[in-house]
Amino acid sequence: MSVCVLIGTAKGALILRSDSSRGRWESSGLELRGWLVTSFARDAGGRYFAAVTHDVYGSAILVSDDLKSWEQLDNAPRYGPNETGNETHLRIIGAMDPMGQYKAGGRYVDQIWKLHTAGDVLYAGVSEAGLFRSDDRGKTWQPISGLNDHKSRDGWVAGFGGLCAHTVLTDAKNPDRIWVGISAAGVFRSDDGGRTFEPKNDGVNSADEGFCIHSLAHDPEHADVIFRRDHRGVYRSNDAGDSWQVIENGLPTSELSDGHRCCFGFACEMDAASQSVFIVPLESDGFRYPHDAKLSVYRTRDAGASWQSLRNGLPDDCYANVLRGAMALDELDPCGVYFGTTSGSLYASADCGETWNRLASDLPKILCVESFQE
Amino acid sequence: MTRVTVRLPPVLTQILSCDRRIDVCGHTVGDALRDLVNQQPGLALHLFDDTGSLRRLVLCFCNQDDVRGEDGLARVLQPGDTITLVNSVAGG
Repeated sequence: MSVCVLIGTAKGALILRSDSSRGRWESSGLELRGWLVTSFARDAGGRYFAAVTHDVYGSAILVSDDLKSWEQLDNAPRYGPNETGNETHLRIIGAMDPMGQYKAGGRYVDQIWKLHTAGDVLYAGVSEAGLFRSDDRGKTWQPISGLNDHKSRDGWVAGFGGLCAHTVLTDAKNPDRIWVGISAAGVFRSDDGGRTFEPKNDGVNSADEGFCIHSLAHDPEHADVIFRRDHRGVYRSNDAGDSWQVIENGLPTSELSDGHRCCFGFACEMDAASQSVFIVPLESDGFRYPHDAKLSVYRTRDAGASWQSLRNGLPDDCYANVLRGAMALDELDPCGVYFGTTSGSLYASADCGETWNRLASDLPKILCVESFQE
Repeated sequence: MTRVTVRLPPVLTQILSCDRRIDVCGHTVGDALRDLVNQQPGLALHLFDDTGSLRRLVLCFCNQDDVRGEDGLARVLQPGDTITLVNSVAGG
């Protein structure tokens, strides 16, 4: 069995491969050059999907059955021509024509933030925020109107990165249950396969701008226990998101721009086998690099009751961010942990975070990381 | 119908695995782009936005002329014209 780590960057993708020892890695070199590679997924049939975006040429999805060659699909998620866009989002993404004129009005898919597979269904979370599904491996896409036309939509507030649906979770035992994280509208859950969604943010500290969800993680087989990184802290829900509790005992905290004190950061992943959850804390929303520049992964093995710093092999002089999609786990025992930084370094642990090695440096900004067994 | 050539940027031809120069037919620039998309359906995502308009930062030249400053996609083609699609570039 081999392990591959797919790295999506601001200028293309790289694929690293190793055997199960995870001691030596070989790189594919940069593929999909010139494209922001924002998400990867693999379906039950073994087909890989990559979401790409270009500032000028928009978003698309590519597929590969061997990770050696990619084929672009003719279709991708798109809104209808008459759907109204969020004005703040359009300003954030710089919706200008070549003459610098602000282009208001339409709702556009300007980026695919998350590809997620659940059985035979492929989901895509996009900005401007919305969710789409494909039942034919990406050949055609259908908007999920229960979320995209949600009654609260007019009140959704765009986050710093725009109004984006960046996180999708599903329940392995209940295909009708879907969670979506939208910045900065919060978490929404559907219990009926996407026909309707309800906001699920009770217990999360909110600011005037809404609920700025950063990421979610869970064990899909025990889906109701969910870990949440929010702009304003780290939380756990034991009831599928109906209520949330702060779980920051042992985590480093810092003061946000508005004075709220919490553990800030983006990435969060869970290893189902060991019930370990991994995060990378950062210093406040104003700085967004590791506390004291000491890059550190924190792990909990007791559902957030306590956290342990794991930084054997990580640098003491890191001023980079780790984005929400830029951490992944493999399924070996002990699990491998991989994460990339905005300064283009990729770190890996083959022992559940106990020790770390830098597998790559000087890459473009790393946007997403995924790991698969081949 | 007028036969012309469309030149595409490498960032597009790379992921579509197509040639950088594609011969198309049409009476106008708009017709030519429609024929181009018929030949390479994956290009539609990249050239036109969700409303069906040419993407805001895709520049379209007919020979040396930026057609946005003239008749737009209604510009009438002459045999042998070359349509060049490029992205707006800026910065250092």
